[in-house]
Amino acid sequence: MSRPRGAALPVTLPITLAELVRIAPLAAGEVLHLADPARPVEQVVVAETIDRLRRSSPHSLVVLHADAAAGGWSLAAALHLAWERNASAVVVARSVAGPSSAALAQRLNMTLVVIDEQPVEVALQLAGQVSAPDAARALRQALFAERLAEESSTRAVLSALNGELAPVPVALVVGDAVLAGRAAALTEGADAEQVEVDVKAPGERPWARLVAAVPARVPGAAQHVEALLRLARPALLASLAQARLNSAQRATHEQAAFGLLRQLAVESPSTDRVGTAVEAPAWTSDLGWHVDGFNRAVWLAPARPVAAPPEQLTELVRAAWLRARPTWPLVAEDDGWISWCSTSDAEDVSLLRGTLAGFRETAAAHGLVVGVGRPERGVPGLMRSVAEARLAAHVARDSGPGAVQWFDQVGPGAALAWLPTAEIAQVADLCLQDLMAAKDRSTLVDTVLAVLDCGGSLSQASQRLGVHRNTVLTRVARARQLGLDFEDPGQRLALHVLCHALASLSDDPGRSGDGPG
Amino acid sequence: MSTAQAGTTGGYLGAISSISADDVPALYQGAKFYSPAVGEADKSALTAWLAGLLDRNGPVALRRPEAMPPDTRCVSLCVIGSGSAMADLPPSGDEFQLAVQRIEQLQGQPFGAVYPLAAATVSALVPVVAAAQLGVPLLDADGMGRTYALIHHTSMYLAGLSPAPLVAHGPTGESVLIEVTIGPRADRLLRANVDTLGGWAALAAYPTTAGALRRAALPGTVSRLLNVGRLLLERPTPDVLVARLAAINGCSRIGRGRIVELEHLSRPNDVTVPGHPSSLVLEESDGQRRQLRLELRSEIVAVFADGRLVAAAPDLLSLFDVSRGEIASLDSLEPGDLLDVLVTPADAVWYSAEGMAMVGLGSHGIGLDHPRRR
Amino acid sequence: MCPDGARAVLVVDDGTVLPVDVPPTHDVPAVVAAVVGTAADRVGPDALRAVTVDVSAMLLDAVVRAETSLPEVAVVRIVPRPAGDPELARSPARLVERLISHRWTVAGGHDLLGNELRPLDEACLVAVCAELVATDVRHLAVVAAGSQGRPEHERAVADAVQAAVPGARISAASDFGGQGLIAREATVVLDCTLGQLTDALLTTWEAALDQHAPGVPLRVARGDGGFSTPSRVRALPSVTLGAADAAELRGAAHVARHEDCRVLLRRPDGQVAGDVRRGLPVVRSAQLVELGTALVVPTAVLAPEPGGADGGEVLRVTDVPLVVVDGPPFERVCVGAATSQPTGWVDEIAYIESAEHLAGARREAEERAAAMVTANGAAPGTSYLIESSIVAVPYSPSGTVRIRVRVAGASEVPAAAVPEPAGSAA
Repeated sequence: MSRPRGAALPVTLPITLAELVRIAPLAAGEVLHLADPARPVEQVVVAETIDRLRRSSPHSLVVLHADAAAGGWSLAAALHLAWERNASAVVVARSVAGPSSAALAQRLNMTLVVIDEQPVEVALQLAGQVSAPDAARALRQALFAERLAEESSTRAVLSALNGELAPVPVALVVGDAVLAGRAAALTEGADAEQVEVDVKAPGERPWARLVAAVPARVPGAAQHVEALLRLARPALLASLAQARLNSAQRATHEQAAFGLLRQLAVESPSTDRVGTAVEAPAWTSDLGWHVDGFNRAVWLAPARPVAAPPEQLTELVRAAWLRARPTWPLVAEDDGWISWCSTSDAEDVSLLRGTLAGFRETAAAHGLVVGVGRPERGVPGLMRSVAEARLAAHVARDSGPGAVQWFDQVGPGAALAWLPTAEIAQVADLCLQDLMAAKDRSTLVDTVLAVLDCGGSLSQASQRLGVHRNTVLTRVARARQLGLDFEDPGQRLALHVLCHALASLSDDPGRSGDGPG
Repeated sequence: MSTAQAGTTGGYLGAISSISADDVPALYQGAKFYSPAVGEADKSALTAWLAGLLDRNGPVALRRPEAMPPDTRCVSLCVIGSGSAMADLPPSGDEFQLAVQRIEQLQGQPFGAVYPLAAATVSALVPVVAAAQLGVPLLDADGMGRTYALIHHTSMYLAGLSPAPLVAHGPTGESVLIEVTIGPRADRLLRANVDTLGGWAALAAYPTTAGALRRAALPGTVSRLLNVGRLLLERPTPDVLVARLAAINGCSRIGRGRIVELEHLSRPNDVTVPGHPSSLVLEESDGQRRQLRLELRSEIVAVFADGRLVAAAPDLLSLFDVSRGEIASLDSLEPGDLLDVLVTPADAVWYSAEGMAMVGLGSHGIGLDHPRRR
Repeated sequence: MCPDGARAVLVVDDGTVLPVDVPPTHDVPAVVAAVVGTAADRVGPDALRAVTVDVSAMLLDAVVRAETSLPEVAVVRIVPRPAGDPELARSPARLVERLISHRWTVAGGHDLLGNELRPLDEACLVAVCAELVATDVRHLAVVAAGSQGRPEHERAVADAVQAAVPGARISAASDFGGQGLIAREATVVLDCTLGQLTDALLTTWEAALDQHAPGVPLRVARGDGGFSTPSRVRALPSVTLGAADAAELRGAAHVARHEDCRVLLRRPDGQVAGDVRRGLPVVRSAQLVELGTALVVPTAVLAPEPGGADGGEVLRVTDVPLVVVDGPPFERVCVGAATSQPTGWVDEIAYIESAEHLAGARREAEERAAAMVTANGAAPGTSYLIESSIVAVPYSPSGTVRIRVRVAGASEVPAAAVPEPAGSAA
């Protein structure tokens, strides 16, 4: 929140053009040229003659009528005088304005609105709105609230907000990720002020924020935008509740269905390499799933292994992952989520790549990694690809949040990903007590690991670590003193594994702050 | 405004004493300048007719009203109706002569001279035709100094002379005699008949004396038109043209632009006035690149630059097609044409209160002050 | 091209211009053979898609030299009463007038808005037919006041003459539309007298094409810068008048690779300038310099322009690039004709009462012009508007407008190697 909630709104701020063109009667007209939406309108002038314009005061909105709306010439003359008199806008019957009028309005940068109703009636309504801007704003808000009530999805609510507030961009943000709306709302510019409104899930749990970037130079704009953002909250909550209901049901359904599918693959008498013998059950298509072609599985998982991801995270992943491909499956399993895409061409990965690119920000923001399996045919193939994707995801954890690992590129290295590093580290606590107590423990472990990785070559290790060869030599000597002696071939594998486990844990920023014991 | 002084620029000969067949091309070009309503469709037929008459009957004498005995009976002539109608239904040849003779019969007195009702459009040529046919001089004076829409829009009417009795003789061979006491009634009665006569007619009106015309007519306008025509025949560059026109009639350039739009019925329509309101939008091709908006009604009645009124009736507004080197006529304009918009002050009488009331912007439904007044 | 013989160039669809090595000759089959040979050698077998021929120079030359083979024409004017002045009774163009052996006036005619000014004088018409039968004139040009909107009187005269003289060739002004009785009369007189010659020229070309490149269509260049089919041109030969000027403008622009430009052309009487907009020459129904009279078929607008070519001051102002041509014109004419498109136009007076009425009239005129373009050889549905202008007719009853529409289309034959022989000789 960049603005204290409940700050008193200045009551006398004049209404702006942007506000006027959104409510009747101007909303029913057509804006041929909008010079400056933030332009205040302080007075409405009904001009029956061109001469009347000569006496108009600045920031007037001029409604042309009778002789002053006698044809293209009168509109041209009126636009010119309006420009001379620094008027805010000119309003005229549609029949009077031609293409050249719009061109002249643009050239003089004078706002021009054409209307189909009686100019005098329009002028009277406008005069009321201009003399009581807050009433006009309230009217606008009421109209908007009515519209919002009809929207049932988050996306529709955000698009209504963006339509109403254009050109001000609005986004719904969870953490740093944009769930819906225009990301431009988050870009801070010198001339834009950010307005934020919290959206809480039931039970006052913080869920998301509505963010809008409002032009800073427009007085009162921020208050007005904030008021509209608040109006949108009930609609958003309703859409959230609906979405949660839907997604909870769907998640259970999908989980059960995937279990059946897996069973099918296992029970099938023909589990040969080709794996086409198992027919996809008809109900898979009811879920929108495709398993007939080449299936390439995706495993989404937290970079840091956790028992079971919280429900909100599942929702978020579902929303982000299915944004582009709403019919793809998303099945929660163990510590991650399974999805897949089915293509007739095994090599076609364009769809998947696009989806992965769109998911990258969410993955980074919420500490997720992605593993991708190989394309395999049919239901058994899918299960194989799922296993591969899961392996790949574990490997991806080495590269940190946001990483994507394709199984095609993993190879035997995948084995390391399965090491129970936390348990192994506990072994180190017991049998390498001196080392674990040392303050420079992680440096020493990294150095020994580098030397072992390089087959014992100190030169290669020094290059990899970016330090002098002698430094490596000194550290190896110190490590040996602390019990980390890899000269003994019988212990070398065990120590290599231990170092790998310790190093991978210390890479984890979540643990780096932990002191030893 | 006088054309009596000797010209210093080429082509300008000052006052002219007679019109021969050789002058016909200049007469035609000058007539085009003084009214953009003249099309090309009937050019060769009309000029051939007039040149043939001048060849057969000899040159027509051009006299200032002061040079004629004051009691010389004079009658004005013009074409009433549209040039397009005249192009499609050319004169039989006797229409103007017969119109004059009908008034002579009515009044029982012969005319000793004829003069143009409006020295512009084909109406600048036909008084020469009648003078050649009748063997009388042509007065170097007219009633408008250009063209206006209605027949009482004349300096004679402003000076208190009556247009009646007047005769319209059509190409169908039929004629109408109108006798009224109130000038504007004559035009109303006449218009209805002109359509039936074939869309145009030869009009003889304002029968009067040379003495009355000394104060009531605009002097020297035929010589002026011929001088402008001679200049145009030399096909000078647009800049030279404007500079030399300035010396003859005070012409200046408002701007140069391409036609981007033609609008119709662009102002409320008063059907008693011929030619419906239309508009022309030009985009200035140099300088400030303003939007020039021209309001038309048979003539150009107003020019707005970016919405500011910069020239208006009674100013004479004309269009010079700079890529062709000739005056553009209103019935042949096309989007894409590159034009100079020229303004020439009208004769002083039109800027008087009475003149402005009659032919100023107000008469075209445009309620703005003339730019020369503001 | 000049009456000294036909020449040709080949234009490939990428715009390349290939010379066809043949000296100016009256041997049309030889020209066509050279074109076919060049196309086969330089582009490929069967690459020749169409041949566009410009016959306008041949026709104009015949008129200017008063060739004895041109038939004399009788003219019937339908106006309320005959001209009393000799100048008004004839065409101001001497070249046109000397093609006319007899003139009659039959009372009748309409005004521009279609109101009848006189009933057609049937008795007079019978007398005229009798007189015509007594002469050996078999070519008749008919022009009635107001026939653009109401052709009935012209048709009645044409029907009566056809009945009296069954073999007569009759040209009626209502086939052309346009403004001005004199210009309309000159157009039909030329149309009438040039029919035989046009037919002979086109027959020669068709035969030569049949012999050397069977199946390749022949097109004929028009004065408005487009082309028509031979059958359309046989019906209305006047549409080809001025084609060489229009084609030269277009060809010069093509060679200079400009869509919009001003071209300076050398002419015996001095240099002239014409404009090309969006690849098409700017045309008007205006005076054709060589004939000394206005026509109602649009021709290229050429303004005298003494400056520019030799570094002199350019008198006419323009904001488009200036193209100064060099060398003999035939290649530019050929290129311009070869790259032309089917075109059509409408020029008429209408009466409008409201903005909707106006839009309807415009649409209707545009549709009619589009139909003409299709008849002139455009693939259906390819027509597009080049120019459309509606102006109020000054000093006419309020609501009277002149509507002018010009439309072009794409040719039915896909643009490919289009060779262009220019002209031929009888």
